[in-house]
Amino acid sequence: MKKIKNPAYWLITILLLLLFVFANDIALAIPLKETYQLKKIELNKYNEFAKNFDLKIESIYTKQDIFITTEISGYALIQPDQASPNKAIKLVFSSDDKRYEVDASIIDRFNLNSLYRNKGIVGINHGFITRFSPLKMENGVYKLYIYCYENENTIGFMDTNRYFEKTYRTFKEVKK
Amino acid sequence: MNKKNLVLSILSVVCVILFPCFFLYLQNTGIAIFSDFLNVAGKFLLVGLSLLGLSYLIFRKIEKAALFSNVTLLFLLYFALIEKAIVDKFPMLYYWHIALICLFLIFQIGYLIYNKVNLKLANQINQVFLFIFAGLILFNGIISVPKVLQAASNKPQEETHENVEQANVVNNDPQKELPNIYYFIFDEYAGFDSIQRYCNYDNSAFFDTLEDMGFVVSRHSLNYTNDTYTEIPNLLQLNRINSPSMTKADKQSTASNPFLLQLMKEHGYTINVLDMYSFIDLAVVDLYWDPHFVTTHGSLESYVVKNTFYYPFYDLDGYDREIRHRLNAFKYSEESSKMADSNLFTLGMFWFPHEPFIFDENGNKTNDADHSNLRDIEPYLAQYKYASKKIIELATEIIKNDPNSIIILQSDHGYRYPDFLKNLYGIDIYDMDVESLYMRNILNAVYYQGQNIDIDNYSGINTLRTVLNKLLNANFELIEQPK
Repeated sequence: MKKIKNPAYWLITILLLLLFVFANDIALAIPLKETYQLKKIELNKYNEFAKNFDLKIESIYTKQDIFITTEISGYALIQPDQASPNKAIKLVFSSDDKRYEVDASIIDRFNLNSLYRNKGIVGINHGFITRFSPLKMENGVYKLYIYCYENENTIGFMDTNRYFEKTYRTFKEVKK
Repeated sequence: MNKKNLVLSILSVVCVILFPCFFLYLQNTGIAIFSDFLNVAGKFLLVGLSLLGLSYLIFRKIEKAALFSNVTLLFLLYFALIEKAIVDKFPMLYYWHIALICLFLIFQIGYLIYNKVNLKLANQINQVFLFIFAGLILFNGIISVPKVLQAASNKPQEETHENVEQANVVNNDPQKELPNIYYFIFDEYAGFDSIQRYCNYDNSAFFDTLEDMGFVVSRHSLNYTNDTYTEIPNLLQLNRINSPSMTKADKQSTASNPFLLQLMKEHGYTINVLDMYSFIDLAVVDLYWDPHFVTTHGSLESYVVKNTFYYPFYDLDGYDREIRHRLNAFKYSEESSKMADSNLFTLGMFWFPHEPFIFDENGNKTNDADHSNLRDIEPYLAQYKYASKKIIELATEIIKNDPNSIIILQSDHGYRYPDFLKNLYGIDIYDMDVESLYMRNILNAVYYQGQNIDIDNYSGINTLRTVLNKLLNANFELIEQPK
């Protein structure tokens, strides 16, 4: 059999093979509009902030696109006594041996005024929404936690008691 | 360049690229619209010929360029099928892996064609492509002939003008002040019996609320068929002009300038139309809802593209737009009640709560997997409940703004669950003769300035005739009730 000596042929073939090997990392690193990236974190990260606070997961929506883009929204607040302009909320998915986090956008929630008024909450920036691809996660069942940062002194990390199962093709809430 | 080879090469690419369009169009003869076919075929042809042009720049021989184009097109056009076959065996692979595998194969084949395949062999393989794909197009064309002939023999009946004379509805006083009329048709909104039977859902609260608002409600009304493109044009013609066996285009054409709108115009009404189906010729109306939105859901193009490599990028925000589209339609309908004090005829034809099932019962968007899930009742029921809320909101707003008006709420047919199971999923567990009654059980409610009007068990057409008789002192005879 005659050997192929064209260097361009080998260059393209090797390039395609390399792309194939790192395809997941490359595809999931593409910045998509209004979509956050899931990051793997240490298993005990945020545990020191464990406390209960007001939170609600209001909607979970999974698209059947190639990234299985998942959108989760709700609100979370730790009764701050002052406005929290640097408020941050993260969603943390945790299994027995893996933990992942994803950022969320903070949104103003005027319709929660009655709740805030009753509890004397300052500010309205307590809603959140995030969109992310769960493909980076290893397959398995994950519990959802919410990390909520109001200010340096007011930080919480709370178990939502909701579980999600990730497979190669799906990411959905499951009962446990 | 050999002219014969040039023609053969181009023809082979044309047949390969157009086969999916022809296949879907011919398989759906009578349902698919020819202009949709031309639109999608034109785009595909452009892609195919562009690829051929680019390939020619590389290969410099039309035979080789056509062969490479044909092979590449096979990967591009049937990408989703290739992906499914590979992913079934290797679930850890995703779209991008399959795209790279295809790219790798295309590159290898291209290299082979460039270096190893002579012009004669390339030409022979192109002939095989031409023979196979032209043959498939021809074969599908031949087997669709009986459907074309059947559809052609079912033309709409010409009955409209008899109605005008018989009903004595010629208006002698077009200046007369008449109450505003709001006529809304909600596609696939199940009647009382229909939703009870298939979803075990008692919708009494909805009908009771309408009655409390002053509506007269007929819970057991039926229409004549469970086909939207038959029923809506017939409702607008006030007669049974269309039949289910006609082509979609023929059915649609009978609604472009329907008798109902002509009649209302003749009586001095301003015609205000919200049309999610493009039934009505907008040239014949005075005001209309312009959504700047063309749905791709269920279009011929969407079905053709669904199998290609382009499928993940096709109409990315389509369902978000569908959601906004429906909410805007309700908003426009509510606003219509502030447009005029009298003589406004608003016709709203809502593709809702028909699938796609994009709302849950609280109006939140549903998961993509539910959008076309016709096998389970839950997605329909959730959207149905939300539709009920929106209909009550709409009626409340109209009565608040325009209490002296007439509001007619109807659907074209009920929930066609047995039909979906049988025709889409091959589950034949219902006796369709029995179920036909339930699948045709419609929403039928009339608010006639808060007055009583007898529409009990009337079909949609007979309800309209009854309302018009009362309003215009006309003499429309009731047509035979559905059985």
